[in-house]
Amino acid sequence: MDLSFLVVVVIITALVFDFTNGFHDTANAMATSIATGALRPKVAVGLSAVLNLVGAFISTEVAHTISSGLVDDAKITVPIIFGGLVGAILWNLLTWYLGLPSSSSHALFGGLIGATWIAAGSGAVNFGTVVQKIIVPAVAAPIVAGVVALLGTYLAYKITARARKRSVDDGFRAGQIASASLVSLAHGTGDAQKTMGIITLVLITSGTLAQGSRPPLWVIFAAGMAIAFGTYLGGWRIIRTMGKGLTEIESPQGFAAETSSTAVLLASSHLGFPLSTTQVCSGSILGAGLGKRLAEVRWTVAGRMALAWLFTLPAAAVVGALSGRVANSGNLGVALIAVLALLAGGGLYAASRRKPVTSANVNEYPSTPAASSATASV
Amino acid sequence: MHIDWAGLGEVALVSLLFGVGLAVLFAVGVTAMGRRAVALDEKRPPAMLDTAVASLCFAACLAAVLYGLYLIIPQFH
Repeated sequence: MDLSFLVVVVIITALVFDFTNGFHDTANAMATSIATGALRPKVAVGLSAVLNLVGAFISTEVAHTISSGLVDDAKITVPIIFGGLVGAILWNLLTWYLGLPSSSSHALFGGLIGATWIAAGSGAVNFGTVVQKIIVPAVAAPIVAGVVALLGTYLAYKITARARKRSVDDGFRAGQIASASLVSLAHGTGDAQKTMGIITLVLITSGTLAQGSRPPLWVIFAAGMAIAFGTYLGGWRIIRTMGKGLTEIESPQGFAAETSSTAVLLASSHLGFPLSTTQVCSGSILGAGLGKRLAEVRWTVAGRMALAWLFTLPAAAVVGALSGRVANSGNLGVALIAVLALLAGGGLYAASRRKPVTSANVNEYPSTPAASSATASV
Repeated sequence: MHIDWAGLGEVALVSLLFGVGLAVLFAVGVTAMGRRAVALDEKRPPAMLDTAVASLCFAACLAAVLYGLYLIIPQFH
């Protein structure tokens, strides 16, 4: 197997993206279960990681296009993919540092759009498809999920109003485990497969694999492990925002939110109107907060999340465009971008260590004076 | 540019049906279970109705989980 420097770097970058995808999205499935105590934090991320790995192995559908038609796939080159991945990774790391959930797929698409735009001109970007596949779903997802969770929460409290509180809490906690597991499994079948598709297409483009090849076993294994490992590390900063930051979640709300997320995600993926997991899950949690009478919803947190979603595509696009442009100049450019990305990622990690959020303090919001000033300064 | 509003509407309706329906079923089941637990605590035999309602609700929720698994796992299709 003769792999060029660029191809090796892109495969590693794709796996790094997969890894950030994992820890960025742990919160979607597990934040409410952790917040209500349905699962202990370490158990929750472990369960989610295993289900993501299983999901990676059972997903058989191979992506034939990287961008789902957002850009002219014929114009996508390996440096463009590299630029797109770098843009997505840095956006994922920045939003993780800020504790904000944001869609990893949108970040990846943003990076690819930016890199393609600079490399092949704006004509290679299908703006109509961008509105249709990203903007409209991004607005619809939290609304649909929010309304379902709101009604579910309201009715769940209404129905159980006179039941014994301990039985109610225990019952809903048990139910949460099932719905959170389904979200994790669905995530593994969808998101790990994206990285496999990218690596496979890079290998095909570079002539290592024949046209129309299925992902080799090592690609499936590597992508599954990367997303599972990322999930297990747990993006605790985002889990805290979703489980505690948006609203205080009790177990009936957690159950209603996760049931709503599961229903919306499965309905959307099987009726052919894909919605972003992150936006569905955030909307569900918000709805669950609104559905309980007198529950406090922190709109400043919700507003910051909405801002992050607004910036996901353009911010990743700018970084993707710059990285793709430099990477296109040759191996030196690729190495330069890789080093710069490592420095930026390392810097964000170092900054996060000053006020770390771990499995031990994930349920304290705002935890310490230091941590609350960190969120206030966002 | 074509936006599939009908598709979105369908997703919203199906989500509403399953998402809210399951929350209601589970809540009814949990309430019936709670009444059984209270009866057992007070050394009374639990009402048949509560047992039946709880079993039915949880069985329906379990069926929904299995249907979810069926949808997620491509090997079943």
